[in-house]
Amino acid sequence: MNLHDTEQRVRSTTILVLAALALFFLVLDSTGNLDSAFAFLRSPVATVMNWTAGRVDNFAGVFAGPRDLQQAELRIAELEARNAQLERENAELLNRQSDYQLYVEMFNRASQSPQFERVTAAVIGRDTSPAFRSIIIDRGTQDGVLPGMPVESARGLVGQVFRASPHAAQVLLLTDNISSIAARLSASRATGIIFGSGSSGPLTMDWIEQEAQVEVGDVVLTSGLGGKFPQDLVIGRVVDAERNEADLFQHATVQPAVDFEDLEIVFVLTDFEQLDTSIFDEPPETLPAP
Amino acid sequence: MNRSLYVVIPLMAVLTILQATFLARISVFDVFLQPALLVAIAWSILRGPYEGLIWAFIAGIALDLFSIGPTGGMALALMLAVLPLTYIRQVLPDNPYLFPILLSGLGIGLFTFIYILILALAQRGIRLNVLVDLPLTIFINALLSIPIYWLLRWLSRILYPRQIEM
Repeated sequence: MNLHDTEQRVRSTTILVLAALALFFLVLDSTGNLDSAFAFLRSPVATVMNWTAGRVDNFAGVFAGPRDLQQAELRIAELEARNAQLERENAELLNRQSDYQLYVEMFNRASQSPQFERVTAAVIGRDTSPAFRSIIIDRGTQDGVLPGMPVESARGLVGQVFRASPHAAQVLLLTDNISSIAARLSASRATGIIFGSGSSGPLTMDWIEQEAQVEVGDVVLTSGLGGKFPQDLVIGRVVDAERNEADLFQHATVQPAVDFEDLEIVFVLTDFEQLDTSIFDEPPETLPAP
Repeated sequence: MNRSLYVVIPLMAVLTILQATFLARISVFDVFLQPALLVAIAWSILRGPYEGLIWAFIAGIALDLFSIGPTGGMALALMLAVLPLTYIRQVLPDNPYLFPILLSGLGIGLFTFIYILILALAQRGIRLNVLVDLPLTIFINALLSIPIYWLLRWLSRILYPRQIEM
């Protein structure tokens, strides 16, 4: 046997061993036993690969940088434009939601008391003098709006029509100095008169009899006395009550239910059932002679 | 006079509509801007008592149209307020900044007091609560009076150009 033959045999054996090893690995892999065997190898290799890949990326980034930067700037501009559009849409949707909420409240209010005839009006202006608290609405005598008619919003009583022209009317708000409305407390049913303070702040309820129980939180409603307003329109809520034994009547501070600075749409009550006061029209019976 | 009359009527109509609608929703520290009032005061300072009173009357009537106050009430109060201003003007040094501020502030104060008096006489309530906000109203509106005064001075020069004798 010469040297050449020996070398050939070693090479063949090596190839066979390697082939056998490959087959062995295949068998092990097919049975799922190879992963654990190679895990100890894969872990350090993966670490090295990560490190290498990072360096390669950085290196590539140096060359690819300007192009990516331009793309990033374009992308930022695109996203900013998209963001601005979404913000606009969001604001519009919020506005619509607010309108929708207002219409729902108005509808609910109208359905609570369907016996009243109402004219819906938009608030188009306010008094030019800071001395007065009034609003201007876009309905007038041609729409059936007349002076003296009550005006309410979805939340409660607003005031009454002071002056009307064919296409507009001025409404005196509850908060004006000269506003006075017959009211009663929902809990005790005690009556009184609500006066405006001349500012957008709270109202005053006077002429409440001393015996009446006045609690903070009591709801104040229209009493309907006098016939100018229907009964049970919400005016506000008692926030402070003052009872002085030396006085003949009690006083209460009432927070109006309506936000007068934020009025947009109101109802004018063009027809409602007035409290029957015909009893006072009849002459009193003559007293029997003693 | 005729030339300024063509300006004052549409100007006051626009200003009062603006005051009743847009400006009524914008308050600065709960104080509302009153451009119609300031314009009438500024014109009376610039053009003297005669034109000043006519502008005050038109401004007052325009404001009265959008108010539940007695018609003519603001017109009368404004006329009475601007009248002394035209005479005080002659005493004060002609400073383009201090001049409109001082006289506008004084004019608004006088107007408010006179109008409260008229309302009380007309049995529309004693509205002393207006006086609470008066200092701030005077301050904020007096600041606005500077640009108004300058604009009206420019308008006055256009309407009444100076005659130069050659």
